[in-house]
Amino acid sequence: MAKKKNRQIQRQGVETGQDDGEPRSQGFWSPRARFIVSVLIILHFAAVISAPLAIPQPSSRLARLVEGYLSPYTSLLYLRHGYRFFAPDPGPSHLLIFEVACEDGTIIKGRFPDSAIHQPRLMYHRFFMVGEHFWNLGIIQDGPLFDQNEIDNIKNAANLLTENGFGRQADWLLSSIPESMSEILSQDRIDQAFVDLTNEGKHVTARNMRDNMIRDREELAMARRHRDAWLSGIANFLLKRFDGVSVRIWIQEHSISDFDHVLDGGKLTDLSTYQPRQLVYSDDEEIQ
Amino acid sequence: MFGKILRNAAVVWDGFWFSRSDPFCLAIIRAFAGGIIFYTHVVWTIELESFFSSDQILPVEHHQLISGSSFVWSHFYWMPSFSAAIVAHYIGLVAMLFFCIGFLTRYSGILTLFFAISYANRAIGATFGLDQLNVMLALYCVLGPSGSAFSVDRILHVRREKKRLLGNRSGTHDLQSTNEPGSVLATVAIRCIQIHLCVIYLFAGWGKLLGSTWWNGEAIWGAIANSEYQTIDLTWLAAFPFFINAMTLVSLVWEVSYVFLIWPQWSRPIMLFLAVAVHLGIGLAMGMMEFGLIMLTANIAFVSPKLLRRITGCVAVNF
Repeated sequence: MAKKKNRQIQRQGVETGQDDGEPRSQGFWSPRARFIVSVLIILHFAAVISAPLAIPQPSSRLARLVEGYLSPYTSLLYLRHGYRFFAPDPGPSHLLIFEVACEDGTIIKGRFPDSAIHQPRLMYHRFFMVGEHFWNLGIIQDGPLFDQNEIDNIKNAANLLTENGFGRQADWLLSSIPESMSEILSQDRIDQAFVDLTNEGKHVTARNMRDNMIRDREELAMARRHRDAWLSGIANFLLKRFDGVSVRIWIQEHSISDFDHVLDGGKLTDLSTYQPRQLVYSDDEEIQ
Repeated sequence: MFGKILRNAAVVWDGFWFSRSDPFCLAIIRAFAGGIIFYTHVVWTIELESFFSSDQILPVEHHQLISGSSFVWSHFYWMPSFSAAIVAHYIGLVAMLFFCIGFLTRYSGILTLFFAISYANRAIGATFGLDQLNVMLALYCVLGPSGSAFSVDRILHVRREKKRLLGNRSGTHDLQSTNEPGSVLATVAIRCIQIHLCVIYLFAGWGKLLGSTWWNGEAIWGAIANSEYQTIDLTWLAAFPFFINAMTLVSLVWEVSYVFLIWPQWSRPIMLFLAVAVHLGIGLAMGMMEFGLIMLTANIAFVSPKLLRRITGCVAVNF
């Protein structure tokens, strides 16, 4: 009975394979060899799976911890990926716009990617990815997270609430105005938040919050250095390519048109679909 | 009871990983993946200095900061000058071409894997899914006997065997004797591709479950209406929002369920058909043909070698 069941299970194992009914036989590897390879396979796939569990945020501390141990292996073999293709949503594009000033006064304008220049298509995608990865650094410009208009709107709404007797709601709304990330993650703020939570008896939350904020601060500092290093490399490339003397670089988000825009005769490249440019690099001291 | 379950699991595990199989499937994957890897690196030639020199689009400091690990290596850092890197580039291209046609496959495969990892590591900031799949397939093709069929190595091997048999005055022997028996390593390599592919689809699908447009059915529109990706204008589909909803939901359900439904014989053809539709769609409409093709190449791991031999006309097992 047990033998029959084993045979059935064995057949199922074969049937789930890439082979349909081809003669197979086992026993070419010794049990010891099969055991060693089995352990290696399990470790290999533990490493492969740990990366997409840990790298894209949010992720659990456990996943990050395990991935930390296995990352040397996945890094060595270029297997450390999140595999979140077109996730969570297919988003807008991010273009790097540049102006290179030449010695004779001419200004050369261009962008990454540019299908007219970057050929073949795969090369176009390489330039496209530079803008996308740059945007994903998450630190395009320093300063407040909202622009002044948005802050003014929030303040006006809070005033209205106060005038109508909704003081608490107004306070809540004002507290939602974000400052620059540097201020939010300053040591004083972290210490204060830690003390407040500890006083409330939330010791674990306080510890987690402090660890997360410190990690965020370190990542922010790293992203800043990264942004500056990357931009100076791109600027150097542009100066060499166009034999220029100075360069300015902006990043611009190109939004996805909605159904109505297209049905009303709008084009995907209409000016209204481009967000305002943000200057990210200039070696022109006056502009800086 | 528990021991019995463990014993049964061990039998299934053994059957799954350590049966012998025809390496033809792996060989076909090697040929296609090798071709795409070769093309990927030929294209790098156009802007080699712009992307890979130490102070241009991807400067060294950027690489050090983004990789954050000393295990992220690249041969570009070991080159005494950029001219040496150019020489290495052409050596890499020759190795990749050899790997594609299956010539000196063991060695050319290792070199292809080395260069594919090295370029992808150095080009962080300009890479995407194509590079990830290139390396993954090269890795498993190097692991298994991917040169033992559908390759120059195989032709040379058969020719040598033919000569040997004629030399032994036993020319009447058919060449079945030159056929490799099924290979356990071929099974291990194919299983690794299958499982790795399931991991990729699973996490790609799970990631999408966090996005609102995959739930409200407009995600495919997000791809169609992105002019930077667009190569075929499908915006006329705006007039058919239900069709876009359906395409979005089918794509999502297919990706999330791939890990389960690719294994049963009854659902495998459906999953593979949808894989062809999705990846060719991405390739044609979004201009990511190389990515679409490499994903389809990985899906070949789920096609039976017998069927592949029939399709390619290589029924004679001595090829």
